[in-house]
Amino acid sequence: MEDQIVEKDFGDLAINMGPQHPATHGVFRLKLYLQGERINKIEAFLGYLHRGVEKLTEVLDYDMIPPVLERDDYLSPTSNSLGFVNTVEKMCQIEVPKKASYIRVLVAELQRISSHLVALGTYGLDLGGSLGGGASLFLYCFREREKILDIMEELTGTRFHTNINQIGGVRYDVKIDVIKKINDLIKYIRPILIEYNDVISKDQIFIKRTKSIGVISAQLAQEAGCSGPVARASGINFDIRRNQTYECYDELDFDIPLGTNGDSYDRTIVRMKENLESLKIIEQIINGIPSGDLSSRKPFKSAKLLKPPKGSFYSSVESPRGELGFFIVSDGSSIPYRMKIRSPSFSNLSIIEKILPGNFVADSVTILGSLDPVFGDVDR
Amino acid sequence: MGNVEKSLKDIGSFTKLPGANLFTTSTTKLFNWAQKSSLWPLSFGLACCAIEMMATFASRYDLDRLGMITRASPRQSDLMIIAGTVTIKMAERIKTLYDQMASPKWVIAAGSCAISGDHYRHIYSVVPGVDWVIPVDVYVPGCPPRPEDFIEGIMELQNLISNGKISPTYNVSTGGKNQIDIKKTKTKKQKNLIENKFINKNELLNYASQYKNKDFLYLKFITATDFEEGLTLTYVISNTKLGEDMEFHVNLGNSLEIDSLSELFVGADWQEREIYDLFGISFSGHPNLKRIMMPEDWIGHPLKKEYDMDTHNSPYRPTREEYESWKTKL
Repeated sequence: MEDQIVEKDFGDLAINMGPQHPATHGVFRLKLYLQGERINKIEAFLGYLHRGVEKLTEVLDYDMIPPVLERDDYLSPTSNSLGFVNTVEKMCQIEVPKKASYIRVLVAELQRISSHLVALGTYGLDLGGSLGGGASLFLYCFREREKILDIMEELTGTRFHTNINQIGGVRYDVKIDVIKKINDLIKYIRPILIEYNDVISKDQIFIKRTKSIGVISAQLAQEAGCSGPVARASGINFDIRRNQTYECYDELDFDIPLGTNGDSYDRTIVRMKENLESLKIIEQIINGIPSGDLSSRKPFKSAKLLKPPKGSFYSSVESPRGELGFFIVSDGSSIPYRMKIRSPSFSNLSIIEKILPGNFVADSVTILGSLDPVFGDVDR
Repeated sequence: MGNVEKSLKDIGSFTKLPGANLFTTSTTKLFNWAQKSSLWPLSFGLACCAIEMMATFASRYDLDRLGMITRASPRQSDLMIIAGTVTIKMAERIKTLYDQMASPKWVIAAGSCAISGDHYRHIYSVVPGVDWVIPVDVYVPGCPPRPEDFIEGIMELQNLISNGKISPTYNVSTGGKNQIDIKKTKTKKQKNLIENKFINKNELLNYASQYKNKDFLYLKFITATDFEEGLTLTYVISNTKLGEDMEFHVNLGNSLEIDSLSELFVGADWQEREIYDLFGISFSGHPNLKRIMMPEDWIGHPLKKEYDMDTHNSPYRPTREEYESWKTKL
């Protein structure tokens, strides 16, 4: 039956999606060239949130940069500053106390869950429409996210731009009552995350909208530079936390969920499974935070004192969206000569021109949402 | 007495008549009351503040209580919440969206970026405050503002509407377009600081395809750095099976042209467009070499060392003097 549906030929039609569009996850414009209901060709326009962060870092001291970077990928701010301080610490060969390392990972993993919850919630809006059934998923996900943000607030005083990482260590200590609250959170959120996973993996509407839509082959994913859940859904077993480990991830026990088909469905399921792995990591951390200093650097009067040696350096961390790396060229002064942010969203999104053609218009929203781009991170 | 009657009591008075109530008020007050009680905002977010705005609309804070339902079309909405950094590229769109909204309409500038540009205010691509683009009624400070702040801002707007005290602040920059010349900065270019492997410009394609055959499939990034000797390109490709990175560099010297890798690596397409945009290096063989971050009629390449960060290249971006005097006046 399905083959007999005749698409009426309306000729070529070009429509614009965005930059103000409720389902583009930010300011992004797609120009879709259509043949009937099918997409023939697309053109992507970005840069609507280009804030020149890379230029801005060329006038700021190293110690002043982490708070600026936290505004970059605003769904997981800690990953940004973590990647940066990690790179600078490796450049200057600064040792980080074990306790600080544990606290960093704790905050990063909490934010991974909150970021994936936003990804799932807004994906519900994409699929179901803001006034339809999708809104309930959005409301439930944000309810859970608020609980995580409460813990962030208790820990650092802000809801999500925590600013907890500084070069050499962390700013805030984890107090005993916070650990208790995190324990309660784990007890509360684990069954809920499992339930959400079950709901979306059995829901016929969700499956029909996402299965075998926007398939990315493993080869294509790699050549495009995709990382994180997008690459892992295509079966690439690559996670910076495991393959090029940093902080205390080598002491922690966790799995890396993989997909097989590389479609929108797999990408969402991989994110859901990652949530549970993050909970596992958090559990291990709060049971074993060592005692010790918060920072290996002595209190300093001026931010101009930190001067990494001449040369270039690249290192990366695993943000909820994938490999977030920093390439820093230092001229021996207290400000970077050049800093490149290797943003996961930019590389993940660059695949869209390759996978959208051939799909229906309605699927463009599905595919875009499954890539989970954050435009502060794409445009920098 | 129902809720509606309770809130009506603020704007007029009830007189008891046999069998009915007579309500007396002025039409202005009644219209103001109706408008403030059903502010329909445009669902439109720019950056981090938009996430907090979403949280304000969601379960815990529930803006529906204030009679607010987000609308996806500007033609159906009467409130625009600017949540995030306004860039020059976006400013024109914001103006269009604002013009499409039916009067009466209001604007809330939420977050320090929308108010003043915050720490991005001296960046070439950022509009330091949305009041250079459209009139703003209420400012909500914070980076980002908490949901409680959002609610307070909206309640403030409701008060202003019901009191009829709306007086938006708006400013138009006079400079901008006149200052198209790119100022030369005093930033000194350094001699080459990169020690790692350099290859010749002509070898690039061979070299990359050689490694691609050795399973170095994952293109991490391409970037450029501006040195005294000329622009230096940096390529990082990786073998995900071994977890090995391969980093190599190409010095361009005086030339500004190099072969494109977009046929070998799909991801090189956008990466090279970004470098073309921000550094002005053209890639021969690239299928679609256009600006990606900046508007297409932009002049100059922002990440070059001689390019001043604080360049004024658009009517929406005021000169530094204009900005300072306007912000102190507020």
